Amino acid sequence: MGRLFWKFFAFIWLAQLVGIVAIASAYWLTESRDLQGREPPGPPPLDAAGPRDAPQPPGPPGPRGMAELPRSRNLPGPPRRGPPPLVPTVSTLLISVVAALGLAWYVAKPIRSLRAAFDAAAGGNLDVRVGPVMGGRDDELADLGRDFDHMADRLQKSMNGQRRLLHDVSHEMRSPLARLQAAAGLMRLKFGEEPVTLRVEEEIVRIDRLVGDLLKLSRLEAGELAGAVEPVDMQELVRGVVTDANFEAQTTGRTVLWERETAGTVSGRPEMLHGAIENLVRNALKHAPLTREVRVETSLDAVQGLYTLCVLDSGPGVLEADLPVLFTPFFRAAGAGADGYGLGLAIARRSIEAHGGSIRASNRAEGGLAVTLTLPTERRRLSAAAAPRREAPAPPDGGRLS
Amino acid sequence: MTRVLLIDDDEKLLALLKDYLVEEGFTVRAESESARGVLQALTGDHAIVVLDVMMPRLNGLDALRRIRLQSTVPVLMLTARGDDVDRITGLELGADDYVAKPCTPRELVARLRAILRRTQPTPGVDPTAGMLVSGGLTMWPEQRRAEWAGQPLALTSTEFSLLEVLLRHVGAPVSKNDLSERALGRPHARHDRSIDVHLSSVRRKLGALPDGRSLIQAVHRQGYQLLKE
Repeated sequence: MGRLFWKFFAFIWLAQLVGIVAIASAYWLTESRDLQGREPPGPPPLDAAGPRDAPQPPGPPGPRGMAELPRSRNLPGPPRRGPPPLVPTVSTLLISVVAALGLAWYVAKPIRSLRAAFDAAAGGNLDVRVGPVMGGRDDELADLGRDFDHMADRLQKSMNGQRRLLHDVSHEMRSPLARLQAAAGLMRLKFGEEPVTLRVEEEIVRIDRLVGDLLKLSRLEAGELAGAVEPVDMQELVRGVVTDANFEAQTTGRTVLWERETAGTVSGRPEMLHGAIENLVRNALKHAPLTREVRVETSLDAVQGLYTLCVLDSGPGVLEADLPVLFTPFFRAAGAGADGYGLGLAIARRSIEAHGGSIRASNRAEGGLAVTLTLPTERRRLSAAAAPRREAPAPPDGGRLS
Repeated sequence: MTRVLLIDDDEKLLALLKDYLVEEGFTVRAESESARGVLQALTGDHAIVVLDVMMPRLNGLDALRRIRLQSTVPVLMLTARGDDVDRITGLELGADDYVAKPCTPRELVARLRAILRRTQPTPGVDPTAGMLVSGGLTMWPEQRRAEWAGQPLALTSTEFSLLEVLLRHVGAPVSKNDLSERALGRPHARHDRSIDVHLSSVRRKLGALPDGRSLIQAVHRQGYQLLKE
């Protein structure tokens, strides 16, 4: 239970306690004063009251009850102030605790579910609804929950619409693109390799790549993941990326270095992981054209079960303000005149997140950009399967919070 | 002249590809209706079929299934880029290879030629020459014919070529890259599952050995191997 619950509980219970103590002591005081006041007269008033009792019509039990008191005082022994009664005190306390707990829970629980829902929404999961948790409740908190559901609904619709638009546009572009490619090929056959036919083909290849990347991104965002999950040998995978990238970089007199190789197994889709890491290395090469080398550093945290890979360049880095948006689609850092559409890093982030990992960028103290990705290793993912993460996609029961 | 059958619902693309292939020296028949395309493919008049997977009504995969019921004519699929499911399903259904669409016509022609090269018998060679035998498996590469335990095997041309490469190296593992270059006519792309899908289909057709093992074995990090009996 959260702090709010305990605060509510403490306040309500405290108020009840004060009330109980006040009432009890008031009662106790009156009673004992009553006793003390009545003690000296002793039996005589009883005798005096006796005859007067009979002619009176049956009145309220009050006086009768009071009248019985002195009878009990007939017991031998001096009159005394009895100890506060134990059973009523304890039961009153218990009831007040239960009541306070219940009240606090009644107020704090919907707030907790609302908070969890907001958390989930902020984390990108808009499938969460609080309506079912509120049940038959009908008060301001339930209204708040309904408002949240309404908001999440609207947001989700608008986001889905955007995503679908992106996907549909790219999808629809493929047919004309295929024709364009066929036409360009034909043109080249008929007119030969003129600069203009080559340029047409070159531009078609660029559009083709853009459309391909857009479709890849929209598939990732829709949660359609390519390939089967299998144990991936990270050392082998990273070595493949580095070898290929280094081979390409050498044509411009640069190198990609991975000095200390780290072994580790990640459970995932090798093609996606390969693409993501390749994008990071390519990005480093592209945006730091004056860098003589791009370094890849890896480490394995066996205790936490995390495989970490860092791509370091010594280029101009990125404005601090741009760091948080570096991984959003179509973002291109100021002054980055490089060829590209700003989709590589966005695709990399989605791919890594789909594997339960994370990715972040930071400027290095010695200049240049460091992009670090962390992936849970196979063992950790297995143990995590028992306890699903909070960012995990909505459970099949429609995002019900518990 | 090599006869190519093009099946695609995009008529404009069909016309352009037809022109391109004619320029490249093929004889082309184009069908924009998949059901009619299937009938054409089954006439046996065509050396190879290029089949678009994304088609309305009878989709490409169903068309492929129908073709494979009666014919082992080589089929090259055009699949949506990045759509692994279609690609794998197509290969499992017996397509010989695939090209992701949109593709450059040059790429298409290169794939066509690679498949044709290995399916068309070289003229003037004794058809019984070069018979390959290992245990119960017999192959006549010139006739594109194979028998397993005396029963004819219905293999697609790619499956045949893969099995032939393995049989020529019987008892030794062959790397996926070698298999890809010799049987598919292209280098093995990283994470490409084509070889695995084709070979698992061959494995299914061969069945198990008496001791329960499969004749084709995957060798970790090395590729595949045909067991020597």
